[in-house]
Amino acid sequence: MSATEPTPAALILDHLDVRFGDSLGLRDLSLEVAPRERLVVVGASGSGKTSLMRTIAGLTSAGAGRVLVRALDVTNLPPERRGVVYLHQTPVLFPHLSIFENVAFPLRVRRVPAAELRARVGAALDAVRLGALVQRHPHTLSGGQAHRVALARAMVARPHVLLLDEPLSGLDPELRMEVRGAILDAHRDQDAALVLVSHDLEEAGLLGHRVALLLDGRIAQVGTTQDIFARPSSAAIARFIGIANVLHGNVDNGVLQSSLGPLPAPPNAPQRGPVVIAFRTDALRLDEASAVRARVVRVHHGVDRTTVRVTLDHAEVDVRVDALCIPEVGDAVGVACDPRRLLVYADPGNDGHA
Amino acid sequence: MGNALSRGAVAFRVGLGAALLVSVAVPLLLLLVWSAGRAWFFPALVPSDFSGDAWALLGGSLGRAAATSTGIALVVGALSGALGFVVGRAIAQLRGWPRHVAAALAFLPIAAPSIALGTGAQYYFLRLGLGGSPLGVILAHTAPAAGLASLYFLGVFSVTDRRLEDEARTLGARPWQVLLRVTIPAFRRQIAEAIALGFLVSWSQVPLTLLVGGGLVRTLPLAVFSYIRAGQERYAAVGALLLIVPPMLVLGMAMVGTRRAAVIAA
Repeated sequence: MSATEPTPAALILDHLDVRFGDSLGLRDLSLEVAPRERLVVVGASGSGKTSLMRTIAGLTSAGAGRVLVRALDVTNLPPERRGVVYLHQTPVLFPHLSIFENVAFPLRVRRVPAAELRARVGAALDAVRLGALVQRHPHTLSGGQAHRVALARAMVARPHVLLLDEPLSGLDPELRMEVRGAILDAHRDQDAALVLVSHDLEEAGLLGHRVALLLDGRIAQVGTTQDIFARPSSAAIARFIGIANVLHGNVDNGVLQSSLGPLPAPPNAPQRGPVVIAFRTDALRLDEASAVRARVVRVHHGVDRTTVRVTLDHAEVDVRVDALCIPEVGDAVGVACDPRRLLVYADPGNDGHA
Repeated sequence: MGNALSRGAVAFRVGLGAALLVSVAVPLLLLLVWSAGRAWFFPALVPSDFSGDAWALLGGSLGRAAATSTGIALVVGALSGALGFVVGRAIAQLRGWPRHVAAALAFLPIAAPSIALGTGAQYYFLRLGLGGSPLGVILAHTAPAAGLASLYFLGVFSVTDRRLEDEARTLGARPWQVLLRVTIPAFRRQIAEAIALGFLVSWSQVPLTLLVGGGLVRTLPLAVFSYIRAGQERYAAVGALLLIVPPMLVLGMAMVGTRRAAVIAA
């Protein structure tokens, strides 16, 4: 490749369909991951994240579309010829092999000369701080050590793409932190693109440069977690990321009408028509001077915040309140809103006459 | 304390252990006495004279029969282990009714009486020129042994997933490398057990050997059978003691294997 040519993407999904058993689960996925990039695919449990990983790895055939690794179409190549290593949720080490031989496995099958093999395995084990355990067997390792061996074995194969399937799921907080650190350590100085799946957006933010959200069988949004939290691209994504307050309303002539009263429509709102309004608890505040009246139906004391649930017309929303001024259940309160903090989306399910 | 046993439970366990010991040890002891006893007539409790001359048959006809049995059983063990591995693994990957049908077909050669199986096999084996040959006997023994091994591996692969092999593939191993470097070594204990199982099925087989071997292939069980029919109890006892050796060895190996697996699991 000449110096002027750009480095090809480590992984491209080109209108990929992914099967769940006999049915089509994920449709028309298109995505590009750069070398050295860490991308986290986030979706609810059962959304097809593992099926997507298996399809990229070649362990399940694609329904349609293409998978490209470093510009090579690998859609119909067997797993061992794709340059993609797939690690399961729990580390799968070969029980009959020592730690050294486990890590050496990718090199043995490629018939790498002995001296080079020893050097590469030693370096990989040192990178995950397990150089002293080479003669041990997998059943003698702790959970964190097993994860690190699996990572070392994956990296020694020098893949173009490393797929990690929910690597932190089901781990206690201490081990979670250890494994997270091991993943970042193992990926440091590597050209491989890292694609992880998770159902936890906060975890995704800690691990990935970017996040791809899977929703309703499609990639709904790709961006940094900051982007997604600040501006979810649909009401469904807003709900998925935990924005619980959702109201229906209408926009006309720059005015947003809803249970929150008439408000100036925020810049992101559609020009006119029925809309869905999503907002966080801190978009509202209790204000006795407000004309929008509500009644408190529940008070929730959290570790670092207190929220109250209030009824507004027929809707219920949560409002964050000052810990020094907490109303009681049954109190009538006024509710004020900062319209700049509302996320307003066109409501395709409502034609405005409902 | 949770592990404390009541006195009644201890007595029951001791009694059960003693009963098991007696039920195994007494027949073995009787066989030993029988093999060395001469002139043992009712109502004498022990033979009036002892001699080791029956054991000399180990260097003659009994030894040859034992060698034939060992050879046949080893081949049957290896064949049935290999077949069972492939078939059991394939059945484990099936879902729904095909899985049930395939498992039932694997069970058929075990469930069918050996006499019926042998009678059917005899006809075809004679036509193929395999009647009365060790190869014919090996193939006949392999049918029930492979059925048993298939069901054994069906059990093994039903509770293990393919993650080991999947991960090996993505690490760069071709299918044959996965088989040789991962699957077979990872399941070596189960493979050894299946081979031992096939060995034992063949080792004690009488009807199939008789019908397919036509008396020309003289295995150890057939030799013991013929000594009993001829009233040569001492020779039959020596043969019977020999027959017991492999199962005892296999049992011992299985116990050691289980103990090692338990240590690893702990």
